[in-house]
Parts: sequence; C-alpha cells; structure tokens
Amino acid sequence: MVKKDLDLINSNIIWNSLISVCEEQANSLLKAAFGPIVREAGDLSAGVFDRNYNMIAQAVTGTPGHVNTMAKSLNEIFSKLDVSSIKDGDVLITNDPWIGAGHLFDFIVVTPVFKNDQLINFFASTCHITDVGGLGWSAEAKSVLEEGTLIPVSFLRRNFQIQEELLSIICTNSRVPKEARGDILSLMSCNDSGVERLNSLLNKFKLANLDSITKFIFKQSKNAVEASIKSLPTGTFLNTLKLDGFDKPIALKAILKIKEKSISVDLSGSSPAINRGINCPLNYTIAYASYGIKAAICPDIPNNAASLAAIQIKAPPGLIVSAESPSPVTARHVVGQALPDLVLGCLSKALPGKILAESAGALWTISISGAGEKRFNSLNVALGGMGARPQSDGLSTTAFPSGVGAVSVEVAEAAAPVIYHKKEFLTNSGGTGKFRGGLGQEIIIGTSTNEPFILSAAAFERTKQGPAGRNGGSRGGKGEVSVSDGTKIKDKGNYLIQKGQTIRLVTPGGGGFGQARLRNKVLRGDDFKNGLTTKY
Amino acid sequence: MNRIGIDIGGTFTDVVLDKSGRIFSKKYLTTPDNPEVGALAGINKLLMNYNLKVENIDTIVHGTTIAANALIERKGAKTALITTEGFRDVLEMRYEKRFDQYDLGIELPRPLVPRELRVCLNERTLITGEILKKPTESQLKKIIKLLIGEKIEAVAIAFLHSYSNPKNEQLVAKYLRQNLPKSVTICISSEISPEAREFERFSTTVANAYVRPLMSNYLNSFHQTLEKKRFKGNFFLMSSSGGLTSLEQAKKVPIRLVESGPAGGIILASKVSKELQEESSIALDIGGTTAKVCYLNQSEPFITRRLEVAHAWKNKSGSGLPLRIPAMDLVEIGAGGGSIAKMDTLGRLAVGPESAASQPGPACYNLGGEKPTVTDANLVIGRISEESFGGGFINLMLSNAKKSIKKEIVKKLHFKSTEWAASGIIEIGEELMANAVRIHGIELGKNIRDCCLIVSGGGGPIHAAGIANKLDIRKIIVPHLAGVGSAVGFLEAPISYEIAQSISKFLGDLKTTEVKKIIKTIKQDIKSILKGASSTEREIQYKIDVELRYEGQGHDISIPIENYLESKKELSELTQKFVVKYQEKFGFLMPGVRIEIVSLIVSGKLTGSIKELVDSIELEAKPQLQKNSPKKTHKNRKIFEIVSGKFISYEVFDRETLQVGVSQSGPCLIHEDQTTTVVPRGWDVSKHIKNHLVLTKI
Repeated sequence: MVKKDLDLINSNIIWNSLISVCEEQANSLLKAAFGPIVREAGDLSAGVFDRNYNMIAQAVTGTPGHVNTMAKSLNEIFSKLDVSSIKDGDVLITNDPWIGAGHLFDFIVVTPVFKNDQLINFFASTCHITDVGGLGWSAEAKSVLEEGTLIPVSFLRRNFQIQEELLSIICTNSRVPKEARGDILSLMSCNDSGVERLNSLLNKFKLANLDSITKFIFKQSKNAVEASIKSLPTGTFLNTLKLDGFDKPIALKAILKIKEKSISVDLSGSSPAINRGINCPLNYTIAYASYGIKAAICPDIPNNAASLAAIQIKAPPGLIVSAESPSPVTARHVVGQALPDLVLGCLSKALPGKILAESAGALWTISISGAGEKRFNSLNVALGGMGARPQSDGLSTTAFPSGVGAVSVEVAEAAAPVIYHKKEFLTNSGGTGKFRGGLGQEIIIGTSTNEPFILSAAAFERTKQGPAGRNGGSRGGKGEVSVSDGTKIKDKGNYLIQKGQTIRLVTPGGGGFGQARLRNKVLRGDDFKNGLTTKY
Repeated sequence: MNRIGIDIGGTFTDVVLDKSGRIFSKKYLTTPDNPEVGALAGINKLLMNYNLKVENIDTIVHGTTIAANALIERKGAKTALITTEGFRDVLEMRYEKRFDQYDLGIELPRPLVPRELRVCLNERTLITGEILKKPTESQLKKIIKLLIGEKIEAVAIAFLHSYSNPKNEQLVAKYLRQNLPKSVTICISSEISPEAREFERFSTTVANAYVRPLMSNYLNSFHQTLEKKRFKGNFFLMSSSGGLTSLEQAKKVPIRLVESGPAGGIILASKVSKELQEESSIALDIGGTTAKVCYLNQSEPFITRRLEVAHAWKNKSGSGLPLRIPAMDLVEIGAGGGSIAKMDTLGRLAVGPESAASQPGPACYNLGGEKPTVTDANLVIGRISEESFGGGFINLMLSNAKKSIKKEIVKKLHFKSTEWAASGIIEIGEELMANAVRIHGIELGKNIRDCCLIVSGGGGPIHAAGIANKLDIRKIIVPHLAGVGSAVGFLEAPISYEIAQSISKFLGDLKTTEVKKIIKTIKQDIKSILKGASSTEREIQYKIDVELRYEGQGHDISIPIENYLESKKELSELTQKFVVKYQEKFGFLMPGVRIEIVSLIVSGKLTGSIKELVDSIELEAKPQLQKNSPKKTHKNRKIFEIVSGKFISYEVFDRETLQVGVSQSGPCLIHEDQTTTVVPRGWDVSKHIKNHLVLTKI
C-alpha cells in the first residue's frame, strides 16, 4: 500500500507540474510575440498531448477558441500526415481553418517530444498572426481562397533546420512580413521551452514517459465531469438565438440533452452557411459551445481530452455552425462566440435561476487600414458588457466568452497612426434587473494621416437587438456603428471612410438578471450617482 | 553609532537596535489605530533595556505596511481623478479581460476613485508629444468648484501620452495648487510614473494620491514625536526596491513604500549572500499565508517595475491594482503554514490558496479551526512538536491535527494512514513553493541548481531541505536573526532612487545628444532627491539601463550602458549586446527588424552611505570557540519520512549551542524559539562565523 500512497501523491504533483509547464509555454509565447493582439490582448493557447493525440493539459492563459480547437487539431493533422515520418527536431505548422482555430489567421505549431528515440508526447501552441494576405481582416470574401494564404500541414523545422522557404512563403504573402515571421518563430520557441521543461520533469520523477500519469489524469477528469453532470436534471432543453448576420438575420438553434453521464448538443436547426466570411467551421463551434457548458457546470476541472469528451457537440455539414471548405470563415467568431449564450440559454431551462444572462458575445474586431499614401493596419478589439450573474452585476466592457482583452489606447496609437477620441462606458447600456448587465462602451476613432481609410465591419454584431436578460431582467443595449458624416454601417462589409471623418462604435451591454424592482437600493443609488444609469 | 530599524507589519512591530555594532531586537504587537504609538513605545522599552535614549540614536530606518493596508482596506483619502475627456473609465475598464477563464463569478477590484469623482478635461496630447488641445481656464474653474464642493482630499491628474509631454498635466497642477486649499494633495502621472500604457500609469498615480494624505500625516507625526524626544539623527524610509529614501521624498511618493516589509527581508538575504560570497541565491520567505521568492545575482536582488497589490478575488493575479514603481522582483504564492489542504472537485489532494490564517488558525492551534493545514501536517509527521512551537506562545494539539487530517484527507482520498496523508500535504505544499521558484528562475534565465537557498519566515527552515531536494539545490542558509529579518535588513539598505522614462525611439533614428539630454535631466532630478536625504556631501553612483525590443514586440530586454549613446560605435555595441541576449532568450533572431528603445532607467545611490557601517556590525552572540559537542537539551524526535515510509529518529539541538565550524550530520533538528530547521538524512549542518546555519547536501 505504501507504493500506492506515494503514487497518489506523485500523480497529483506531476499533473499540476504539467499544467504549469503549459502555462510557462504560453507565457513565453506572450513575451516573445510581436502582434499586439497576442502580446497585449492574449490571443493564444498552449498545451501538451499524448502520443495518441489526446490533450493531457493546457495553459490556463489563453482563449477558449484556441484552446478547445487545439484539443482536436492533432487528430486532424495526423490524419493527413504519417506520424512515423516525424523525427526529433521536426516541427509542424498549419493554418488550415478546419484543423486549427477556424480561420487563416491562427497558426498552430506542433512539436513532437522524443525520449530514448521513442515519440512520447507533443506540444502544440496557437496564436493569431496579424496578416496572411488575401483580403485581410474582412468578411467580404466569397470563399476561403480569397481570404489569404492557406498553409497545409507542413514542416516548419526539419531535423533541427528551420524551413526558410516555407517561412518565406508565409511572410511574402503577409502585409506585415516581419511580424509574421517573429510570431511564427515565437510559437516554435515556446514549444521548445515546453519540451525542455517536460524532459526535466520526467528526469526528476525518473519516468520513461507520461503514460501512467495520463491515465490517472483522464480517469480523474472523466469521473469528475461525470459527477458534475450527474448532479444535473436529465432532459432535453431547447434554445434559439437570432444574430444580425452579414446583411440578413441568421438563426442559431440548439437542442441540449442532459443524460446520465454526458451532455449532447445538436445544432442542426441552425441557418445554412452563407457566401460571406462569418461562417464557422465545426471545430471552432465545438470549442465555444463546450466552453459555455463547461464553465457553467464544472469550471474547476482542467481542460483535457477526457474532460471535454463528456460534452458532445454535433451539426450536419454545411450549416453556418459547420461550414465546409471553401466557405469563407475570417470572422467565424461572430457565430462561434454567440454559442455560449445559445447553450447557456438551454442550461438556464435545466437550472432555472442559476445561469447568467446573455452577454455582448463576439469580440468586436476594430480593423482599420490606410487607403491613401500611408499604408497601415490597426487591429484592436472593442468589448461589450457581460451578462448579469445570479449573484452579482455583469462585468462592464469585459470579454466573454473570449479571453482576449483590448490593446491599450497608448499602445494602439503607437502601433499605427490612429487617434482614439473617446473610449468610455455608455450610460444605460447594461440591462436592468436585480443584478445589472455589464455596460457596453462608446469608442470614437480617427486617424492622424488626413487620408481616407478602410473600416472592416466584419465583427460588429448584435446591432439589431441587445443580449437578452434572464429571470425577468431586461435586454442589454444593442450595438451601433456610424461615421461622423452620418453614414450608418448596416452590414458586415468593408467601408471606405473619407479623410477627416471619425467612426463611432457602441458595443452591446449585457442582459440583466432578475426583476429590476428587486434591485438593492444602495446599488441603484450608486449606479445613478456614477452616471451608469440616468434613472434612479 | 547607534541605529534603529523598525518594521511595522499587520500583526507584529519588530524593533532592532544596533548599539555601536551590537544587535538587539524585540517583537511587539502592532497598534493598528496609531501604529506610531506602539512603535515608539517599543523603541523606548528597548532603549531603556540598554541604557540609551532616543537622543542617542543617530539613524532610524522605518518600513511599514500602512500604505499597503490602506489600499487593501480602501481606507485612503477621498480622491478625485482629472483625466482626458473621453477617457473617464480607464481605471475601471482595466485590461477588459477576465483573469480567470472558467470562473464566471469573478469580481474586479473597485477603483480607488469612483466614477462620479473622475472628472474630464478637454485636452489631448498625441504620442509625438504634440499638444492637440490645451485645457481652458473656464473648464478649470468648474473643476475647482466641484473639487471644493466634494471636499476632495487628494487629486490625481493623469492624461493620455503625458509621459511624452507633461505640459498639460503641469499646467493643470499649477492652477489647482493656486486655487485649492493647501491641504489638498496633488499628483501628476508624468511625475509619478512617466511610462506608456495608460491604465498602469493612471493606477499608480491614483494609488499614490490615495495613500499620500494618510502617509504624510503618519510620517510627520512619527517624526515630530521623535523630535519631541530630542531625536536629531537621520530618519529614513524603506522603499519597495530596497533603497532608503528621505522623509520628504517618502511623503511625496509614498506609493513607493508599499512593499517595504518584504524588501527588508530580501536585503538581509542579500547581506548574508555577500557574507558567504554566494554567486547567485534565492531568497525564500515562508509565512503563514504566503511564500515569497526573490532571486539574487551576485548578492543583488532583481528589481522590477511591475507589481500588483490588493488582490480582490481569491488572491488571484490579475485581480489587484497594478503599480509601476521600482520594487524587488518577487513572486508571491498562496502557500504557507496556514494553507488549508482539501480534496478538490477532481478528487485530488490540493493545498491552499485559502489559509486558516491566525484566526481560526490550523486545527492543532485548538482555536476552533477544523480544516487541516500544512502546520498540522508538520505536527503529525513530527517535524514540529506540541510543546516547542513558537517559543511556547501556543500549545499545539496533535490529536486535533490528526483528527482533521483523518476526516478531510485520509477518508476522502483513501490514504493508508494519517502519516501518509500528512506527508502528501507537505509534498504538495513544498512542490507548490518549489514550482514558484522554478518558474521565476526560468523567467529570469537562472540556473536554479547553482543557487543557494536563503530561507526566512516561520516556515522557511522547516521546509527548506524538502524544497531544495526538489530543486536539486545543494546549499541552504538559515540566517541569524531571520525572525526579525526585515528590520535588520533596513539597517543594511543604501540610500537610492530610480526613475524610468518611456521614450520609444528607434536606435537608428537617435539624435546624438538625445539620450544624453534625457539622462542629464533625470540625473538632476535624482540628485535633488538624494541630496535631501543626506546631511553630508556624498558622491552619487549612477546606473543606467536601456530597455530595448524589436519593433512591434511586447517584451523588453534590459541592457546596462556606461555612457550616452553618442557615437556609432556605442550604438553598434548596444545592438550587438541586444542581439546576443535576444538569441539567448528566444532562440532566434529577427534580421532586418528595427530595434527600438522603449525606456531609460536611471538609478542613483549615495556612496559612502550608512551601508559602510555594516561591516562594523558584530553580533550579540559571540561564537563560542570551545570544541564541545552541541548540547542536547531535547529528547530525540521521530519523524515520518516519505522515502522509506517509516518514522526515523532525529536528534534535536538548540541553535545557540551549535558551534562555529563543527559540522553535524542529519537527520537532526535545530531548534530555536521562532522556528525549527529540519536537517534530513543526506544533509550536513554547520554554523557560520556570523551565526548563520549552513546546510549542505552530501
């Protein structure tokens, strides 16, 4: 029995160490990265896999869209490439939206780990590269082929030699070649640091591989998730959500079934894919739908193959949530990041009074590029409000479900010739309720070039109707986009903005929770005094 | 020469007296409402014992947690923020992301200035320093009216890009000074933290304004009371970066004092590391609730300019107030003696970050705590005993410890025995600490195995060997007077000041005299600050670092420079150094990408400062030189060892009876009032001439 107790202690220690190896991998990427959206806003993920391509552990840092897609990526990669051709010193790369994180901007880099000539594990990491050619950040493309350069599963490093030809293809096709090179090499470098740390971990515990630990991790995770699901009422729960769409509304529909030991979500009632770039590949759909469920029912259980396995998401091919190549997918997060609200709506019927209200949802990507002599690209995100929680107000202007924050104004103005004239909470934008929804914000941006510029409206969503409240709470404010010359932004296309004009964005506020008349008087007074609401 | 170091913490006030080179110390309970009262009473008592009066004291060095507590408990001044129109919510929007992806209940900290007191002015400075809009007098008049009407005690002025041109901030500050009552504090961001990234700069400036009235009142009152007692010596304050600062400067930028306590402890480690001539060492302090780690290179601690204080949610990083001030680069983790062990939702054994603290305390304190802690585990396996803990302050109850571990751990996790479960708690707790050491070491690019571990705090000596084994570290030092380490450290600190300035220029675009001009201005500022701290003329030693990065990259690499980058040769040398360091750190290069200077950091310290006296300090306890074997005043203790799965007999010695130069082999325990040093099998222990314990792995 002594052996057993020691194993139990060590298994715990190694599990935590593995998560911290990934955390370090992610941090090293955060530090090395060039794109502001990665280094300032945290658009990345990192994880370690077993040799059967199952994710064992991942960094806590990062964003669900990367993290949970990556969990499935290795299977896809090795269905296209014979794993026996991989040697020590090799590194694989791809930005295939149907393998990685759903659009061409996200590259996944995979590094095998060898010990005593045996392939024992893989490290993978993903981050957003600012530009991969094509139409750039835009939902106007009619197919993925117009959206940029697709790198199929390839060797980024072979036998310890960086494949400069491949890098050169990526960089030549990017509007920011140096940044692209830096970010891709940073991905490689962060995996290398993961490999190094894993080796010292194995040596320390005198292990030949992680097999027994992996088994332990998967078993504990499976049991824990199943126990969480067991505590839920079984049954079938429906929800629908209407989005603005590119230029006409789209519907998302979910049938969520809670069974004894698993949860399944069927999205087959959702709208078909369209010929504009807001389609979502199924891998990205699965990532966000399962994120929403997991955060609601078992937030403490680390993400890995076993903890994700109990939640199954499916949709027949060809829908907006399961678009197939060559559907355009650049702004796939418009649909993908709406899915947590969709599935949380189902869960609120299973667990009345326990699920937060709807949130602003998709990150509003602010993509501005010079259309005159001076060429530039500025990428930032505008956040809306989070839905009110059953016990507290929603967080104002805070990313949810995404984990990506905003780039600071001073940094954004350093990176490109843009000028922010305003970035402030928008009064009355949070849905009212016993708990108030988080506030949205008003942002006014121009440039210092005195030349026309292009704004991509690809990700401005929830401009027709704000996020719904829960348990009697009211809707949050809807989004709004306009140009100072009076032009209204009506669809998700690209807009040429004349010189001297500014653009005004209003992000959606979160929905309220519970009835407004039940709101605590002190909170109500504070909101009024602080100008968050104009009605006492 | 008589000196006093005084450290006011949340629970204890430590007073250390250096009477012409001999050190005496005493612990008192802190008097939270008027901390200076308890502190002065303590000083008086200690002085009386040694036939001294306050007027005989030449120097007093003081560090305090008052600023930190004011931030944590939100007990600072009623503060207003005047900021750029359109950017009223910078403080509250923060990074606009969640610090925990899965916990949907998280809360962000309440801003120090509520929205109603965040006032906007129609002004704007661009990144180039060009002023787009200047504030008008009519706007300022309105603001004055509002500030007076609201009875504001402190004002922070923070505008966008003010680090590149402070004119608008200065203009507003001047107007406010002329039109507000003298008692109102005014702080501007270009002075408090002239660095890019508005949230961090605003946060630092506001925090400074918020604690300044309280801190300057407190410091004044402290100093005046001393003067009433005819104190004529120097009065210095300890800063977070380990340098001493004058009373005047401390009252101006009190936010820099926020982490003075931990800084004192690290300075002691630095002194010990110097005495033992350690190339690189790790200072590890293990207290009741947290453990703190700081690396020392050639005995000098690493300094950072980013820290976060007053965490608002479960002690999680990301939930606090960011500050950009020079501070010891330390990592704090939620693992200490009081950390609670439990089975987590995955059926795993987990330790911390929740702590039983001192109320209700670990189960063995018998004060109502029922949850098992690391201290309970130490008691169960025999590393500490019921009677010898904390110098008899508290009598521990083994039966309580056993009961709680049995109930919460053995039963739930199906351990074979209480001893195994207790060992598990300790293993996991020590692994948490070792892991923090490891991660921070990797971040700093240190070879951990070559470091020596210098421990302090009640838990340090107990866990040192366990942690060292995990890290392959072969040498541990348990310093003399570690129990009042911070206050002792205060007496070792140099008088210094540091200023960081954002500049954001490409190396290729630098004009010949540009860097020189900036550095000269900063040096002038530092000079006038340091001058105020010393009655005699002393030379100032400057250190200049530039922070460089590739264009577009977020992470900077810091490189020291000797002069002003006026020649091509200097620039190419700097480029070369950057490239080498970059390759080392990231493993690849970026040919053709421009290199950018992000900021200049200039620090100055007075040479020939009180530090010189350090060498003259001898210790109260003169090492005995007779060759007797150490006295065994305790009976052997049985300690459960995880390696063999058995109880092993440990000899127990009193620290005082150990002799210099005589080595003792483990397994043994070295007992002293505040703590116990565990020396397991495979380790030797000996006493250094300066009374430090040195553990070496065989």
